[in-house]
Amino acid sequence: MKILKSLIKKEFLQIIRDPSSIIIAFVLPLVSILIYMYGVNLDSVKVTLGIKNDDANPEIATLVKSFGHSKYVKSIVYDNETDIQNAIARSKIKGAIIIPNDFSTKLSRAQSADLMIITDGSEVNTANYVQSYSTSIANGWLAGSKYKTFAKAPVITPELRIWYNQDLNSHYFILPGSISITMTLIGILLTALVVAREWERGTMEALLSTRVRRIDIVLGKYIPYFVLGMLSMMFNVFLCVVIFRVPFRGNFLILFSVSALFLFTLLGVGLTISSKLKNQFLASQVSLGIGFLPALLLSGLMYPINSMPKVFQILTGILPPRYFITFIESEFMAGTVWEIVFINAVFLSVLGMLLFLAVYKNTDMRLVK
Amino acid sequence: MISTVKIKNLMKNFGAAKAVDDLSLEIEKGKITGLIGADGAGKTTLIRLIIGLLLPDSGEIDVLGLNPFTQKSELVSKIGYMPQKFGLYEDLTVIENLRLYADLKGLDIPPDYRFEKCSDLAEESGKNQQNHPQNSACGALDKMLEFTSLAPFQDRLAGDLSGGMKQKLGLACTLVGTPEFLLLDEPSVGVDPISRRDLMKMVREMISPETTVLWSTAYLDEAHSFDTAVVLDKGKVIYNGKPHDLAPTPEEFEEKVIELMGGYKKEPSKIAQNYVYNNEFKTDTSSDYSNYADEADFCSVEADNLEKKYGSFYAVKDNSFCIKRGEIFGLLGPNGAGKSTSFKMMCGLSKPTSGTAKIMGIDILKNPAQARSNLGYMAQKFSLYGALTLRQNLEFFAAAYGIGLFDRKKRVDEIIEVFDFQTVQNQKSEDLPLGFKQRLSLACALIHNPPILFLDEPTSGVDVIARREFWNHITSLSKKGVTILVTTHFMDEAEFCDRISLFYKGETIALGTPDELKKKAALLISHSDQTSGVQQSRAHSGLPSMEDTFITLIKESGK
Repeated sequence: MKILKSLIKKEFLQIIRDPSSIIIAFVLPLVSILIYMYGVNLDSVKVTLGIKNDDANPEIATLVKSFGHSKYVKSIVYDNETDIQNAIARSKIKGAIIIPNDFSTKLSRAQSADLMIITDGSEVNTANYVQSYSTSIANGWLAGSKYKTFAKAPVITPELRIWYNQDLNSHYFILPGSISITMTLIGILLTALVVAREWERGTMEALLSTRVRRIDIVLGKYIPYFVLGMLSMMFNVFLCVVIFRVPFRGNFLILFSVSALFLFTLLGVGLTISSKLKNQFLASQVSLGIGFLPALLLSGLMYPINSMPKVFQILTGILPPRYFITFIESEFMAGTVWEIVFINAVFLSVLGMLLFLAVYKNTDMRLVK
Repeated sequence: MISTVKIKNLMKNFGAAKAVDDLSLEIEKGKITGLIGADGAGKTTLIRLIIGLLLPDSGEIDVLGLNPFTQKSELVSKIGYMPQKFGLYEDLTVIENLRLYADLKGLDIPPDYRFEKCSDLAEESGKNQQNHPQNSACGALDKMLEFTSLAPFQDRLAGDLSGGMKQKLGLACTLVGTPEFLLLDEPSVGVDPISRRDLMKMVREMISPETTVLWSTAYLDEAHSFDTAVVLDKGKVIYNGKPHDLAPTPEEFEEKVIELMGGYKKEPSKIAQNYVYNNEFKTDTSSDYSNYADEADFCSVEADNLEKKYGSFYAVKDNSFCIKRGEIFGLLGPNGAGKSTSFKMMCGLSKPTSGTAKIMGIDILKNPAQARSNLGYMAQKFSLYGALTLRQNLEFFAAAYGIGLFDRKKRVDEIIEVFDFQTVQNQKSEDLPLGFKQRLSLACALIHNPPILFLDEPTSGVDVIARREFWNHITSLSKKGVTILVTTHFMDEAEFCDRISLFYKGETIALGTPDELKKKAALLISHSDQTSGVQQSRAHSGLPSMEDTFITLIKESGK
């Protein structure tokens, strides 16, 4: 017990002296949250469209005006198609609407009238926005114009309610999700170097010739970095909830309890890497490769797991952040859902225990060479 | 005889290499046993096997009646082991390191133990006539700090200590808990003679008569002073007995050990024979080499009032010297005296706060590239690219020194032949034995046939035969006109220098030939003999040894 205590004390002293772990724990969350807040935006944005009206009918001029009044669209009027082509090629406009000269004639005869919508297929997301904005503006105009009698009244009118995130503000789910990416990076980076460092500097050899037991070495690494990791987690949540005002509907006790399990698995990943490789450079490379990238790409934050190929879906099963993201998004936006808390907590505990065993087994008590 | 260690038919292989080969050995209790051998002879492996840090392939080991493989946890509480890298936490302070190791060894130390505090505690309890349970452990640490003279530095980070102090702290951490069996793996590598004497004194005075010590060393004079000497070669014991039985003096002992290890025959240095002194070396155009009426006036390497200040602290002060062509110039001094700083300023790696350094008459600050092209530099610890093969290292340095693509292959082939690297040229340099690394490092420094060589502790950690070979090359090179600036902690190597500058606390305290320095020291010794009547034994027959000279002059200047 005394040995463990002094090992933990030693580790804390090293943490305090070495600015890099403090930077990882507290500066990294700040930088990453700023990036996710201001750099990543999955919301609709205002698009600029070009409009060319070939129909001289004054009624149609109101359609052009409706494009100008929309809060999603900024419109620029063009006289000829070459200018439109050039503007799209230079990305000055993201798409264009061309109203043919027989538009009003066809409408007044109750025929179906064509409206040309040009979109920029090199930016698929924006192209979709352009298409749907334009269609809805045109339909809106039609419903208020004198041709409205020719338009068939829709049989079904959907009443849209968006739950959990009324404003469809993507930051509300990206920021909590980003916490799990950041924590993955922090948890693994903090520990990936610390065992390797002892091997490289020769202190491990000295430790192994004292009465230190294997469990002392393992817990002597887990405990200090667990404490540091939890402080970092609190800092993350503080940034999210207090500074960036992301609504939190769950329970902080549950949030931090599941976070503790999550951190437990991450420290396990880092320590396994570190004990196995015994080389700081390799360990840092590997932890980025197996820690950060899969967390970002395969955890379901950026791309829904259901739409991944089957193999990857199965692969996500062993990624701790996958479970944590599901949990933290629901805890933030929907409040505590016991089923989600329970399932994810169980998975994280099982992973954490397996990793703990892996660390224990890989902690060499002798030298190989 | 009671034995602490009994080893029978021990075998340990690493891949195809036999590190320990059918070795049988007994180490006597209560004695200091020196473990001597060339690099790769199996010294470190043997020590690690004895304490159970490595598993043997076959054979038996009994240490203090325990089996290190099955009873390691019991064994480790009875031993103290100092690995080659000392095992210090560089980001912990002196006192924190000591407390940590005291805790790990199960000593009862108050968690806020500090040097003064404990003495106070002892005084208090002394007054109260109580036997405080903490006192004995506490007192042990006090004694340790006092003995190592580390007490004033107790709050300094271990990483900021000088080499000698680190070693003392490492030894102190090993000695806490009064182990029955002390194993020290080359504790005196890279340490100046004064610190080396201190280390030896520390061990001798801190242990009880029953303590067994196993001390591996590359210093044969050190080994000569031990009770027993065990010489290892290729994983086998080739001598085991009293050092005095082998030879009465340290010098003869060294010869005998070299003989045992296969002998060293001084042959003409192929490296020096191959060296071409290029007379058209780029000197400063304004002061052309040929302009010097007398070549004797020309300084190949010149330091003019070099000074390096950190804040108000002078790392180097007022350092001036002139090294002539073909001269071997030694920079000697205790760890932390400013040798490395001077060295770095001489090759332009560190900017002096004032003064100038000139290489072949070229100011290293004004014309660094041109000045450095005259220079071959062998850095401490041999700075090679570990992941590259021996050949690739040579090719890299050839390119770095500006040898053209067409000449490069030819030059590298030539060097490989001259240095006898043919068999190992495709091995990764990190896997090479230390002696090879050292030679490779010299080869890299010589690849462009420089007229000047800078060698920073070139023989640190290298065994005695490799050292002799190395110095054979160096002295032969100097005869061909190569100017050499060298630092070393081996006092026998200092004898090879034509002139020596003795450095202490950033200042030159003596400058002259080895004999001049010895005479100066002899005067001081006889003087102190007359006044104090002690130290008579030091100045035996004529001049004192280089080591005594070093210590006398340093102590005198410290007064």
